Amino acid sequence: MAGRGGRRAFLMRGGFLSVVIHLAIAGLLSISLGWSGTVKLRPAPQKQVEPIKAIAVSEAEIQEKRNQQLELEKKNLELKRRQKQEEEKLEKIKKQQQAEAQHKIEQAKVKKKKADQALAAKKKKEEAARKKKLAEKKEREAAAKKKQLAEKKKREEAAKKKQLAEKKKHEEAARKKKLAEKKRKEAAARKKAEAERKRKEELRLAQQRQEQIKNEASEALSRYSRLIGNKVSQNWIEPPSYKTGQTVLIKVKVSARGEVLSAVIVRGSGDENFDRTAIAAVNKATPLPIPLDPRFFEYIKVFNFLFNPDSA
Amino acid sequence: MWSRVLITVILLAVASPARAVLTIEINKGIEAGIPIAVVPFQWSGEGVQPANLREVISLDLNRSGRFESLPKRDFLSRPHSLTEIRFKDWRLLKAEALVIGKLRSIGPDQFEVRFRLIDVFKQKQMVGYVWKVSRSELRSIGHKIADIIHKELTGLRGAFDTRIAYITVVKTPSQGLRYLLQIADSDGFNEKTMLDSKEPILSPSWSPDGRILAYVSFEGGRSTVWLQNIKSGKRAEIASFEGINSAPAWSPNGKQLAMTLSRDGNPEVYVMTILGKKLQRITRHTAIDTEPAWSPDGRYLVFTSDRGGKPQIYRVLASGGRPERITFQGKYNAGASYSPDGSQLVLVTNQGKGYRIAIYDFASRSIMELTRSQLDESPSFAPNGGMVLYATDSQNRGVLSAVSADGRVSNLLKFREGDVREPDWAPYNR
Repeated sequence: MAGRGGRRAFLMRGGFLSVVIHLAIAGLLSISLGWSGTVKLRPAPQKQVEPIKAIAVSEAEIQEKRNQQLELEKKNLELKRRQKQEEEKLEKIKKQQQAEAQHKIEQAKVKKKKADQALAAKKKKEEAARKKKLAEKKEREAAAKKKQLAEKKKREEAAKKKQLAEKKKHEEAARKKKLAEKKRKEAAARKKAEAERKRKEELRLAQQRQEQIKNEASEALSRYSRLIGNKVSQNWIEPPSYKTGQTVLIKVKVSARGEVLSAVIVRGSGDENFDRTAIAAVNKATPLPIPLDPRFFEYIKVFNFLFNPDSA
Repeated sequence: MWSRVLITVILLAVASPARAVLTIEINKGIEAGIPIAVVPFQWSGEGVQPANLREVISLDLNRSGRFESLPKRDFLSRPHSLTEIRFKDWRLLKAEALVIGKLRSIGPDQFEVRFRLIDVFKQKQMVGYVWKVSRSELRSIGHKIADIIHKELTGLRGAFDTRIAYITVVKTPSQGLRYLLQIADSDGFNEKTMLDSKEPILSPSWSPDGRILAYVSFEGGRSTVWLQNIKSGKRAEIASFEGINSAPAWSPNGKQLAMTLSRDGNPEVYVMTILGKKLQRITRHTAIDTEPAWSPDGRYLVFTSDRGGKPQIYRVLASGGRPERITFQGKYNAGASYSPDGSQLVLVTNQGKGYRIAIYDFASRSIMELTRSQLDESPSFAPNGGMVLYATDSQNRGVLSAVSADGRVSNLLKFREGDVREPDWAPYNR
């Protein structure tokens, strides 16, 4: 029972460990999943340029207007000049802007390139890190596995060792027990033999005593048998149907006072009437004159009558 | 009759001492009646009971000598059914068997008789019977019960339910002597007169089937042998020769009669066929040859002859031949007849102490007296051989008596009046 309990405890421990290992592996998996998600970069916003609008006028106005126009023209010229100027300025600005934009694009390109490069570098770095991490993980796992294996082996060995030790312990205990049992049995046997010897001796003595009583009882009964026989004979009315050669053997049981308790045919004559007269004779002769010594009763409480008219 | 007891003690030498069993040998018992208790039958009906069955049974059993019916005053209880029996009561009386019964009126002149025979020591019923009979048959049922008891307890058939025939001589003041041929039950009861005559009647003899009586009557002034049917009363002369016609005896097959005739001058034994009346003379001697009787196997005749100077018994082949003398003991042996088994003769002997009934035994060739009186005559065996019926003298009056075949018990049969002589016990068949 103890061995089975130990093995169950051992299995529980192994179970716990494997759960831990599983959890660890699950952690690693979730990390690598974060890595495989894509990162998107947004482009920078561009600046818009507004257009300039022209307005028409009458003659009086033409003069005026001329004037005005002149003026205007002047103005226009001015405006144009200005416009041109503006345009030039604008152009300049535009160019500048374009240059700037170009520059910016260039710069963005550079920047992007730089970013790309950085990204690539980062990616590379990360990849390397990942790889490193993976390698490390693998290494760790291998190590863990190795460790686990080692532990398992160790545990198994320990268990085996323990088992062996227990087995040895049990064997030792059994051996000791057996030895003790053997010793105990031997002692009991010796005791029993002694008791038996004593009992036999007592029995022998008792038998001797009983044998003596029995012999005395037989002797007494033999002395009394003439009296007993006479009494039965005087009660036996010989059957007229008797045929030569017929005999009846009857077993009687008597009380301590000689009263006939039972009389049964042990071997009949074949003539029912002869058998009946013999049974009746024994019963009518009750009480039989048996020796009344109470020590004898055991040996004279049962005896036989043989009715045998032929030998008269 | 108590004789020497021989006892042998056998101590069986068996290996185990506890199993040595003493055996006491019993070699001799006593010749005594089996003690039996016959309880008065329970009567249920009006008036006094029509028959005292206990008395009929008890007297029968006692008369046989094989039983001793215990006096009812000693009974501690009077059971009528099995459940009422207290066996201890009967063991104390040393009764080997117990008879209980009931007599019940079941209609006009109809009675039911119930009877049980119980073994006291086995505490078991041996037999039980029920009869339905008329009043006149009740005594006969008593005899039947006695027969059943006899058979059960001795192993031998009883002969109580049988009849006897005899001659009664009555003195009447007006007519002088009268001779009656009578029959009765074996105990003398139920008497019937077959013939009433002023002249002597002698030697009644039953036919083997019990239906016909042969006898000698002097009614014609001289002796004649007659046959008479018991039932019808019809009769016929069979022998009325010159001189003596006497002592008829039936052959066992019932076809012949042996008798004594003096037709040829001297009393001689003859055998006559009943059909055809053909005569054969058996004896030829100047002495008196008379009283022939058949052996049960029909081969021999015994007869009385004084050819030796004194009456003695002789035997001759029934077909004729040279007679041989049988009896030598005593100065007088006469009137012999065979026991049913043929091993013995019963006869009248005189050994110097008077005329007594005796048994001659063929095997031992010895004569054993059965009676102690002076004037006994006409013995005949009961059909079971257990008893002998004979005539004797009691206070100067002829009476009948029955003695057990071992001589231990004899009983007078009571008759109301007259001299009773010449009895013959009938065979079983009636």
